[in-house]
Amino acid sequence: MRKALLYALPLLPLAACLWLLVTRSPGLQRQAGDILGLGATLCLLACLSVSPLAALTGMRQAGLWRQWYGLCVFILGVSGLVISATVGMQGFAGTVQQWTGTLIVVILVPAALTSNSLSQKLLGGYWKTCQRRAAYAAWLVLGVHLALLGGMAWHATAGFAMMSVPLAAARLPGSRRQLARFRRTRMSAPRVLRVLVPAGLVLLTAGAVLLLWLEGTAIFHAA
Amino acid sequence: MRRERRVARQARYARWLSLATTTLVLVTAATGLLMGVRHGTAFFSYPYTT
Repeated sequence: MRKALLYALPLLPLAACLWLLVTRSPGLQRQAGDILGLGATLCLLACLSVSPLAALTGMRQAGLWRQWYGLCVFILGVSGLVISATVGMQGFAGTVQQWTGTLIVVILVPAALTSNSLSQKLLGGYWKTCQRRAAYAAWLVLGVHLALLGGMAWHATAGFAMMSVPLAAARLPGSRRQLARFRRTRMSAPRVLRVLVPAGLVLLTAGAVLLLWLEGTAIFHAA
Repeated sequence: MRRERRVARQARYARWLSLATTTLVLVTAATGLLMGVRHGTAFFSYPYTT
């Protein structure tokens, strides 16, 4: 049940936007942009959180979660792009913010297309590198996109930054080994790990709560 | 020998994918920038409005 909920949760923004489409909401473009954009941001950060959390908890099936959240980023991004390009007057690059949003979706196209077993087999060891490059490029451009949204989205930018700092730290060389070491030793781990790991988890959770709250508010206003 | 051939083929596919991705991103970025700049100053407008 909990697993099904975690699988279905990323598609909630899409359902909210379908509701906006059905009811022909006058603020469709703006509201859909907020809902889908925040949803895609949350999914990308969830996708990037899987590896560090798997190292920390020994979670199984990390690959499946990464794949699902990664595909959700793409689905939500494409939906946002379609709404932005068809409903508004400015197309897909009317403003610099829309332009960066479009770039994120385009960066994720090859990653989404190769997110299957056949591509994994065809690309072998290079598959992981390609996926990782795409995810990191999208992460970087998303940061620029949110920063360009400026004052209107400073809450989202703050949430993104709060989650990104520990996620970036967990990708420093040797970090995964240290996280696995913390999982094994817990209270007898070196003091620096006993401070940094909980601090990172608190920051990650706080950022996620902030972004979820913003997403919930956006969906609530749309409904 | 078979393994070497397989790895070489995988490297070739990865190069093609990388090249296709880079081309796609650069073309989209350039097209979007050109289209956006044609809108004039609105492209870099603040605050964000749609």
